[in-house]
Amino acid sequence: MKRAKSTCVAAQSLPDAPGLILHDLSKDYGTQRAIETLGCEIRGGEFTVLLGPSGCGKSTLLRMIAGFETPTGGRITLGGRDITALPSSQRDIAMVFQNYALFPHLDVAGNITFGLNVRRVPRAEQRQRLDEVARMMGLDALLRRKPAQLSGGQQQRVALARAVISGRPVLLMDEPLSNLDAKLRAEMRAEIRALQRRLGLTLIYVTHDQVEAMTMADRIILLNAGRIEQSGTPEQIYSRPATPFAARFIGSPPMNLVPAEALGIAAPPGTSAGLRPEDIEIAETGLPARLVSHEYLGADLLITVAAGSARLILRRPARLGLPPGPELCLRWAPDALHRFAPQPGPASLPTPDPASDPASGPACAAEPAPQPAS
Amino acid sequence: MTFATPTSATAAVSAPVSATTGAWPGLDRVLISVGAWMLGLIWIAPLLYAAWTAFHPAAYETRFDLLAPLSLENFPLAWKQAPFARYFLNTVILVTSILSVQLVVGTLAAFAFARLRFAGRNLLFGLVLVQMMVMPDILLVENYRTMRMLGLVDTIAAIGLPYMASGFGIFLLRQTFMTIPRELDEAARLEGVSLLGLIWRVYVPLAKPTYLAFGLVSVSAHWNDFIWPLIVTNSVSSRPLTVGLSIFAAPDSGVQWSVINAATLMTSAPLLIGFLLFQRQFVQSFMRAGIK
Ligand SMILES: Nc1ncnc2c1ncn2[C@@H]1O[C@H](COP(=O)(O)OP(=O)(O)OP(=O)(O)O)[C@@H](O)[C@H]1O
Ligand SMILES: [Mg+2]
Repeated sequence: MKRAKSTCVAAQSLPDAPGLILHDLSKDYGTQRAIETLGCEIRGGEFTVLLGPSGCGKSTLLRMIAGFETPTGGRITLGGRDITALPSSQRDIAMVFQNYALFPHLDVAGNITFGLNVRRVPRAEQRQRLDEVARMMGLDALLRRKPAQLSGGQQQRVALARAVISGRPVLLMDEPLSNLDAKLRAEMRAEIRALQRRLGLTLIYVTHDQVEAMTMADRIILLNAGRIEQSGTPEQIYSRPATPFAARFIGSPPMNLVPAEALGIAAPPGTSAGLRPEDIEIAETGLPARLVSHEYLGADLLITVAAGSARLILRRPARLGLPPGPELCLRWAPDALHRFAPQPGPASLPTPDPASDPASGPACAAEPAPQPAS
Repeated sequence: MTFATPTSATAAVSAPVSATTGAWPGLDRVLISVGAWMLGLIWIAPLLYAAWTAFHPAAYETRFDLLAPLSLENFPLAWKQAPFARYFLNTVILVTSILSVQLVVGTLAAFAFARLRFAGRNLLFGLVLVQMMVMPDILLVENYRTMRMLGLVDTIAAIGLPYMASGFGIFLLRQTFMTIPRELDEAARLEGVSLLGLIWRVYVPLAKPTYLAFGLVSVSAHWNDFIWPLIVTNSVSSRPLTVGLSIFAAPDSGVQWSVINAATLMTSAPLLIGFLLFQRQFVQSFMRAGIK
């Protein structure tokens, strides 16, 4: 434990924060399976976001890493060391809880140094580390206040400070920003991101907010119903979603996902096609469609069109305005099109209406394969 | 604005009228006040009588005279005629030892019931609840037999022992501990506290109002307890105040009422003064602990 000896951990980055590997991890609650057997690697020094809808098992996964839940099966290694059976305090992991979990009876200083106190770090060193961390987090003036006398953002900062002062290289956060208002949330996002970079922490961050995930993550692990849908950088997941779920979950408004036939694309039956709203252009030629409605967002305009039986949303700069008439043609770059093979199990996609034929649209030159946009 | 005032005034007046039967507005409120005052007076009358006689010469025991001369001589008289100093000491030892053991046992048991998982937890907790249902007086004989078996009859320990594991205390603390968020528990464990450290650093400080409220109930109950100490003690060295006072006040001892009442005031004074001094804290912690 050379870190424990260094007195100025907080200000220096950890040269080699360890990574985590989950080996075939699973978790059952009674007969209900919360986490399907899954494996993945969380790299050292990276900002990893566990993203997924409510109830998909993000917290469960995080709590298994922290040691608050025992996995039903599988192992967890941290920097090569098997930590599956270790108590949480010996895992070299710090955590920021959703409701901050500050001790109401201790003042800010007492909260931040709680762990040092428990571990009997000498007073002088405690004070020095407290000073350093308090300065870094902008808490100097608040050290004598009780948590009840702090705003939500300040409490959040105290919780962060308590995690940082431990000097532990791995930090877990479970929806840490969900209690803050939108403006503060944006600020704290940047702050947490900067802190992680500066200290070189291995940070695992749980959220159900895809914007948070996209803006903060080095790597996103997208979970759904206890399974990993996809993992990769935000760019990879956005531009190359592996499954229809990943395609719909990330991006706002979500990707248009329609049966391939509706777009006039030759594909095996049951294949669905996906197009991001911003990748669809209104052009002279292409897939005929009809204007249904539009929504003004300030910078952008969301236009809903019907192409045969399929509804598509497209996004374009508001200054371009609406197309002149209700009939229009759609075009997209070939590499903007995502194809998803038919999913086993119940299909959640609308079944194509055989009566509608895209070629029968009025004004467009019939052109089954749309032209690449230049 | 100008129109609103008369309307709201009539509304305020008409509400109590319609609440009563109409003809006698506010009659029920008057009756309630009178009743409350009567009950209060009846309740406090003996105390007032005791205070009156204690501060006046013996000649005024049965004669009420507003101008009667005040005197403090009854107190030293009482103090000298019986070993009250010893009784005080006994009671203080009794009350503090009961309370401290109750707090330690109660805290550990309550924590176990609130946060640990072990076989038979619900059954054991059921037994704790049963203890709260059983009137202590029912157990007098059985307790006496136990104390004799232990060879403890006529000791302070014998008075306290049956009350040291308080079901009420365990129950109260458990309920409080269960309201403490699990996240706090987990945050502390992550920092590496031991189980006892967790209780001491997190659970105990957060349950402070409950401790204060329970402490008051326990101290006043055992300060004033009479029957059991009367049965189990028979010497000056173990007798608490209540028993000592009753022996002192026994009719055949031939002591004057004014002196007896001075002794009575003396024995209950520490509790009364303590309560008056900390009244606000007590009321607050009763509110927070959910006892009313
Ligand atoms: N202690 C428990 N006992 C039984 N089932 C549980 C328990 N904790 C979680 N679950 C179940 O496990 C599944 C995953 O829960 P988890 O809390 O990990 O979801 P989550 O992804 O964190 O959701 P959210 O975004 O709402 O916090 C849920 O179906 C939940 O009902
Ligand atoms: Mg959760």
